[in-house]
Amino acid sequence: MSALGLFLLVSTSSAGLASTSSTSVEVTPRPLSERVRADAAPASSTPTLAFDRRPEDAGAAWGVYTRVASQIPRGDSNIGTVSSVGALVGFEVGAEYAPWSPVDGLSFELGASAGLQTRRILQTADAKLGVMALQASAVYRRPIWSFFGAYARATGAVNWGHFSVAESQGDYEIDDVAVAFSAAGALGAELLVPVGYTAIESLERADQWISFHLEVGYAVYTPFDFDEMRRDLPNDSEPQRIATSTVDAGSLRLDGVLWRMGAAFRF
Amino acid sequence: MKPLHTFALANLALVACTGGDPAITEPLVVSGPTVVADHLVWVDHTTARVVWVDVDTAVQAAALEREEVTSAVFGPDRVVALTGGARPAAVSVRIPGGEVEAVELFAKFDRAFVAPSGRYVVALHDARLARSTPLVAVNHNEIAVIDLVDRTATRVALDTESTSPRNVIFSSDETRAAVVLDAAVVVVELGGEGIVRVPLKLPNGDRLTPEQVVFAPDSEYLFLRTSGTPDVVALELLGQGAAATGILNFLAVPGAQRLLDLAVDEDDPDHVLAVFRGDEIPTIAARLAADGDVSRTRTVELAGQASRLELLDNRTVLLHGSPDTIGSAGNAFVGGWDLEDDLVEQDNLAGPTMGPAAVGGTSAFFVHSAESGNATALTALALRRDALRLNVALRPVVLGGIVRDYAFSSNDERVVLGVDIVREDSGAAPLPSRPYGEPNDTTGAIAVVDAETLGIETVVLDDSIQHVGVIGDRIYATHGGAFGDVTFVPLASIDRASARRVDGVLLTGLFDRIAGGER
Repeated sequence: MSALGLFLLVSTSSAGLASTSSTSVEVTPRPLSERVRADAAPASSTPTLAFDRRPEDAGAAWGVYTRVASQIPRGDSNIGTVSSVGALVGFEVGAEYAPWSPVDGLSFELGASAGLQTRRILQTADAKLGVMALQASAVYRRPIWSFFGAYARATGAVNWGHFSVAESQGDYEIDDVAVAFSAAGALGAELLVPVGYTAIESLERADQWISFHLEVGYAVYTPFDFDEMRRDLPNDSEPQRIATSTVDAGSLRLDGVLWRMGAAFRF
Repeated sequence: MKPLHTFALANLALVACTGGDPAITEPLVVSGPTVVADHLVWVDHTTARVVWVDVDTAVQAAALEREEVTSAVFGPDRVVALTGGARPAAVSVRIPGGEVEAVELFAKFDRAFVAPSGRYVVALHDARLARSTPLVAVNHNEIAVIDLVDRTATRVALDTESTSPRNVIFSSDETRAAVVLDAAVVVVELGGEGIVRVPLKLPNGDRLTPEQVVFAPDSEYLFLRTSGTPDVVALELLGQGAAATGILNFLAVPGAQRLLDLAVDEDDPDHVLAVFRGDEIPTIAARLAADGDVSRTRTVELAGQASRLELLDNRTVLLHGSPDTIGSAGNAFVGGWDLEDDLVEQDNLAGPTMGPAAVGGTSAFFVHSAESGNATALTALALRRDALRLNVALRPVVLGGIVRDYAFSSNDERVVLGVDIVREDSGAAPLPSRPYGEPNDTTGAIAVVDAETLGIETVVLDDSIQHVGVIGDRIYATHGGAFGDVTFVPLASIDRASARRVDGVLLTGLFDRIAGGER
């Protein structure tokens, strides 16, 4: 693991300092959060282990993230009615704030997600489910090695589901929008790559990171009650349409295992 | 890339969990809609569900809790579906309560016929139906008589030379059922053990293929119209249980070349009414004694070609030449025959009929194609009897649009017609995806014509109509959507403001089929 740390250290140095090749530098394994300035004397401090964060690493950080996520509901959820892969795949974007440390301890996220699944049903119609969500998370991170950490996430979300059925022969679809709340817990791992540094005395301290992360967890949802399915036509037509009643397509639950993988930029 | 592989495989692994759901893999197969207990009912064979909607557009659904629906029939207050799979059964669903009851069957059957009361169902094999599963050994001379009250299924061996059961007719008192085969009729006692087997073979070996079978009102006779003889075949049923037997009579009319239609008179169970094509006379109508007593046979001769007869409420017989299906061309001849005094009146409609007559009370409506391509002509017929003669009153009506379906409202002697009209300026709402003026942009309208006054009320709907009918005091019109789109209009208030529509009836409970434990 030290060798990899060394590789990262050298490669990032060469990108940042053009004169590195002509400068004698004592290369010592150090946490990625700091590195020796090329034009400075070698650091005299004792080599620091990755998990041995120093107080100067601490500090608030902001970040943005983007992820691909997949909700894999239980087998009795009837997700197959709308998804050929038995899952709801979506994308997430949002912002995060780490009040104490960008790589260690508690941080908070606020973001949005959107997913869409379609499937042909009864060889007659296309069923489509779109879910958009506003979600907030609390994340607790612990570094394991200098570039690698683990975290636990707790998420709460409000979800808007749009379910529609469009007949192949018809020229309209029947749809409904339902709201569901969800909570999820997940465990994940992240790979941290420092990409920006700030000079402090003889050292440069990392202050920008890219995180690549993967997590798995479980989510519980209140059901999406698609109980007011109606033909999707404007109500303000002239002449007005004949008054329509709705039909109850039932409830869709998305409880089940979830996966997320993505990247974040913290600064 | 490894996490990506893991991610994709985990998702794809769940395909197997959903791939067997018939809602995904099978085409939509639906029976209905049919009126049951003042509700409009569909049976979704694919997802094994029954869905019904009341006239206030409230929709309910019930799962049959079995798989592989092969046939569905509609009784007065329940729907019965035959199911296959590992445990074949006849599953009944009460309307509107939704109570589900199953009677286990000893074999998988293809077709069902339900008695008018809904108590008995006869299930049979049908070699003509395409099978989704490989055919195992099937005895086509085996039927099941299902008693839905006692919840029993009785195996009955027909033991005939025929291999193709075609139809089942129930007697009005539901003591007997006649199983019609390609060259035989078997009368089975319902709730008893009596069986009367009647091979329909002539002495020279020719087979008589039954084309129409009716029971006498008292169930003592069974009358048959067959392909091989112009005679009415009358089977007198004698005895019960093991002593049950029958006597076959051929009721002939001199000069008859072909038998065209049969009917029975509820008030006169000893006779059968028949209409024949004559050798030299276009039409012969006859009232034949069931026991073959020719001294009681009465016939009348008509100058035009009639092929159907209908017994009206005032015991007059309407004879006409309308076809059985909408769109087929029939004959313009109409005639009336008063059974009390043998009075006859004949006339011709303005043109050939283009569908079955809508008959009720003492009136009938005939639909013709109009001279204009976008209009339909109707003739309202009333059979009235005064002191001296029978009067056939014909009154023409022309409707704008093309008639797609029609039904008679017996409550108030009005005919309800579903008509296709041009959408633009019709009063129908526009479709966003199909602007006005686009070719073939039509919508549906309901026209209600009073048989007495010929007063017409119309209401324009928002889509074309497939079928119309009457449930109690409401008209229903079904539209073309595969999932069941219906508009209800009160007969007392035929306007758009009073109309109510529901779309996608068969989507009801789509998500609950598995999650709710219905399957």
